[in-house]
Amino acid sequence: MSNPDNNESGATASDDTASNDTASNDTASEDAALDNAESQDASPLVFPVGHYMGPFHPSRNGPAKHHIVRVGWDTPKLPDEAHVDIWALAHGLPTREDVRWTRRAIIQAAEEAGMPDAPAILDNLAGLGLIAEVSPKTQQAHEFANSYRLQSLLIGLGNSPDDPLLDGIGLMGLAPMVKVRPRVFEIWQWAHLWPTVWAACEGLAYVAGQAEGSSPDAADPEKVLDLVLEAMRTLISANAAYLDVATASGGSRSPG
Amino acid sequence: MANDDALLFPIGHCIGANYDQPASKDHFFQVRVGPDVIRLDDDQFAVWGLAHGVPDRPPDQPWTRQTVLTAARRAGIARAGQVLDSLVEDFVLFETTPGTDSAVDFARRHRLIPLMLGLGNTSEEPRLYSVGLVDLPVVSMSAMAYDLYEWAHLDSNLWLACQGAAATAARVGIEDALATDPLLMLDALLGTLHALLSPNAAYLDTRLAN
Repeated sequence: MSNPDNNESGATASDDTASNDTASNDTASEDAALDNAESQDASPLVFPVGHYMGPFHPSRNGPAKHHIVRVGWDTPKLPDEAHVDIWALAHGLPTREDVRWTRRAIIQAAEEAGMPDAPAILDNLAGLGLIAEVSPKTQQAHEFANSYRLQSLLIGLGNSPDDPLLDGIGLMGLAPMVKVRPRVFEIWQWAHLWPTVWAACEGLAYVAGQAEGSSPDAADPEKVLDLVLEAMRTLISANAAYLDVATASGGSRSPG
Repeated sequence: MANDDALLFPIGHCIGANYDQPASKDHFFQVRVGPDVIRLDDDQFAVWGLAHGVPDRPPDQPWTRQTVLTAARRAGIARAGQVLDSLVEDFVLFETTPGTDSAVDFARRHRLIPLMLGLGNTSEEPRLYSVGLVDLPVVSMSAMAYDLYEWAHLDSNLWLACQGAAATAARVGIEDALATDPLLMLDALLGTLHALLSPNAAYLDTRLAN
């Protein structure tokens, strides 16, 4: 299996020095083009939706019938391991935090990891409501923020005298699964108490606006949404949070 | 005053340590309960932590005020009784007795929130379900407990969740009273809840307003 983080191309495969130079130049220009394309990429970010509830084995010594994800009051099923793998990949890779996690990025990572059929599986996952796409700083981002809520997992470990600027999230007695700056920790700590991501942005902005000396950006729900969308990748890729659909309490489960 | 059989439960989501100044050892701990953040000192945080249970707790050991105090004394926590009482007064510890009206009252006041992933069942033991981290099961439980782990937090309180789960079980034809009677379900859950609380697989929060 190829290393997803190995960006070196096959330029070193040739014994011909001139060819090597040409290949290196080509690789450099391809990398530059890729960097440029990524920096200007306006395609939507992809996030997984739902709380993973694992495989279901209906009988002893039999195979898993499917994997279950709870989404609101429903439980869409991941039909096979290939769907499980791509849905897991949609969470993000801690080693690629700086990469915009779009369909293209997921498909590329899937190809590098030897996972086939990623484009079709992503379409299936979208149809099942198991991934959501969002374009930051657009009207669609508002619709996204009104349609989903952020649910937190794990516990806060707080900061330490050695590292007072970062707060850990994880489990008691273990090293933090992720360490985040205070604004991200605040989102993890509080956002799940609001019924939607947008309501959380408004609430967090309101609270910041009441605090003495806070920045204007911190009191602007639009800016908070930008930050929440960034924070979501960090938190979701570490399984410190997940996205759920916005549902009112008092609902009931779908049959089956 | 709760009776000697009352189980002791921690309430709130651990937010962790807060060190205000670089290189200073001055700190406190924070626990979020509903919309409030409660500050705890070292002893309070230790007693609150012990109320979750301890890793070597026998599965059938009821986790009561007395067992927590015994564990606290072993840990060298001074005035553990007073500390525990103050935490009960601040609603970050709560006592209730399964099988009594107080259990239903407790369930109406609180929610059960999952903190880990569901890892499903296995072909070797399809009756047991586990929760944990990716590829790392932490706690195994019955289908009934797993059902509540998956769904209970969507309801505004734990009693509504038990009623909803019981109604769903009855609707799909399950005949086991543990799954169809919300009272029996609640009592069974409370009797095993420390197994979930101890490794931070779940926590109890205050009920939602609606």
